[in-house]
Amino acid sequence: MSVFKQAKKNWDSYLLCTPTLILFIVFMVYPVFYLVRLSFYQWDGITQMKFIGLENYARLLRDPIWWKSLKNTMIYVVAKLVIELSLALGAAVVLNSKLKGKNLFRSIFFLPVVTSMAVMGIVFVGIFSPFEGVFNLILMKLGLISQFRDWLGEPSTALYTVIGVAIWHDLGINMVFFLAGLQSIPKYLYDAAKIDGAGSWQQLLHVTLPMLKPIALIIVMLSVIGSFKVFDIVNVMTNGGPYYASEVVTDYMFKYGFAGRGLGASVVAQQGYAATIGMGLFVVIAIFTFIQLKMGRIGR
Amino acid sequence: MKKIIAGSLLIVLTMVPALMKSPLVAQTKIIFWTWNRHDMEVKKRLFKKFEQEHPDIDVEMVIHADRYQDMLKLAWDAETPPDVFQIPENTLVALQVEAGWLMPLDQWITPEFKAQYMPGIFRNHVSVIKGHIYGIPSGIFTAKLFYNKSLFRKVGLDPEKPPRNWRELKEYAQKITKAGKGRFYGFVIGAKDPWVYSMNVEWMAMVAGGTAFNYKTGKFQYNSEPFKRALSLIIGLKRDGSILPGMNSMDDDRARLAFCSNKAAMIIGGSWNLGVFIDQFHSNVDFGVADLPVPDEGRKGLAPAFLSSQWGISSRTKHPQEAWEIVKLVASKEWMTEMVRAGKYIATIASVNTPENLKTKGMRECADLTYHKFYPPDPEEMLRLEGPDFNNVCAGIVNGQLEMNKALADLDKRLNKALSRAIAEGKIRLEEFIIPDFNPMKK
Repeated sequence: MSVFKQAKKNWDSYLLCTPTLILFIVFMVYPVFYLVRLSFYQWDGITQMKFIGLENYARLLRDPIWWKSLKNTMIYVVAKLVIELSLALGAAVVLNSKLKGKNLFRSIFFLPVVTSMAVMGIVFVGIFSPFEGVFNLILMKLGLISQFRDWLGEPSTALYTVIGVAIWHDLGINMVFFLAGLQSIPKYLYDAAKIDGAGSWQQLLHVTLPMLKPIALIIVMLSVIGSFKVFDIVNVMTNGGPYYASEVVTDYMFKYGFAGRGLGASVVAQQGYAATIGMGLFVVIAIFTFIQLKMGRIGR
Repeated sequence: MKKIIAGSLLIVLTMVPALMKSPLVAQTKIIFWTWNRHDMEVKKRLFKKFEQEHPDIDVEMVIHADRYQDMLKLAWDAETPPDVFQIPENTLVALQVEAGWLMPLDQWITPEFKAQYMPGIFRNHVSVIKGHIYGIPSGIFTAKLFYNKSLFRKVGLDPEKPPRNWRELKEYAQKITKAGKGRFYGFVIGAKDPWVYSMNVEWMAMVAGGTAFNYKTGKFQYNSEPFKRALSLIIGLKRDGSILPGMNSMDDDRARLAFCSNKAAMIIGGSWNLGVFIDQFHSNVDFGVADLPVPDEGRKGLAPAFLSSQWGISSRTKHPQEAWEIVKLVASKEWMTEMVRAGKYIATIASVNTPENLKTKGMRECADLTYHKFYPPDPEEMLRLEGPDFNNVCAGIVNGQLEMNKALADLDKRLNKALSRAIAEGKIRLEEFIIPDFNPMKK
């Protein structure tokens, strides 16, 4: 049956979908096309737009700060992927066992997820402060440092401190996803494994992990895409600094896209270039998602 | 019958409030946009008084303290711009004029009107674009050093003698930090938002005779002695441990809070800090205000003074005459007197800045313009610069991520390249920025 005939037959379904579809086109599809168009223009957001062809793209390729922010974003993605998902899986496995008070622990792990990233960022700036900051005091008491450090203000530690806080924030939600995956594994598989003489470790390797693979692929994909889009925590905690040491792509894009920083709201925006930075990120995310989907298919 | 009476009564009772609300005279609504929140109460009071005197005009004040420019742009995109709006005190105005946002105000400006303001306040590229006046300036901010008298006293320094030169600044900061033993420090910078380097480096470079733009040659010159020396001063303070730790993870608000909480003895800032200390933080810190310390061998340039606000009229307004009444009001002597008395800014009408009106703590010192000048605008803000700007480059240098000479030379190169491009595109006419006899010591 042709699409037209199908639409004619199910006209009521299409009618019901229309409001959502209109909203989707206006707020999702149109901005994407507008962004693509904008990336070929030079525009300060005020005066006339000027078509400059591929100039913004050429500039992106030779912009060292873009490459630096991309590298930082990759570090963020990989660190979150490896550390956060391992911890989330570990926590899920432990909290899926017959542990006493597991519901309390599940709530505690999940608590940061429902806290606003921006508010949390501000709180952590105080915690990590080299002046009367609790984190330094604890490390000092434990004898791990001899003098207070500016964890968010030193180029060598800023990005990793932000990553640490982000992992703490997002661990809970991934733990819940893994828990859902674990609870969907049939009990009889473990019983069969036990009869075959498999210990806890072997059960984890040969039953739990293979059965978790479908949901793990989705968790990994969501985590990677979410990490590539990281913005709020970096903007609030370090503003990408010091001197781009913790800069990520979205924050860098934001800085070019919006005017108003500084004295008397003075800086002129470069919205065309900001759109190009966004396009660059789109390409990187698309490549990663493609590879992930391919890998998922190969392993199936 | 009872029902009819009750129904009629209900209708009358419903209509009375509506009738009471409706004005007896036809009102013209003027939408007024500002980014200043700190003077909101004074503005509201003065607008109310104006409305009572002019029952035909209704002023609706809209405050967008954050992302003002973006909100303004959205309003223009939606074709609902305000009638009167605050415009920045920089070359961004030229872009707004180019975009057709602003209406020239020449028809209303008589020589007598202009003469009531300080001389030289209507500057080219800021208030005057291509010979037409687009903005009426109403307030001034000055660049100052704020120091904590309690901490000065505590360490044995004379609270009435703030540092006059860079050597003293360094010595005082060291002395206070040493006595503070980790409880308080000599100096504070909140450099999480790198724009604070404009205050801590560029202003200091200005009193050392430096300007970012060479008004004689038409080239950028950050890679010059005044800027290098001002940067070295900050690097030295940092190396000495005289700056409150955590400067990179602290924004200017937190730095000012540290100053008001007696954690730091000195901070550089604009006279807008008075409003922040007193109205925003409700701080009772015992502070003093001084001119920016100058190089050890003496002053080589005047400190900058800025317009805190200027007001323009939308080219789309349907009520230009009423809009002009509002602009005239916010730039009037009466309005400025109230603002100055409330400690919100220093007036652009010099006769308002009397000791009787400058009653707020620190205002008299902030209003002392002896060593200040309105620097001519430079084209930097009109350029499409590729890569980090001056403030970010400063952050890189101060944190040891960039080598000073190389980074400043590279910045000049990028700025001059962007300037050449803007000239070639016809966006900038360099000759309009050239001042052959420019002297940073001359008002």
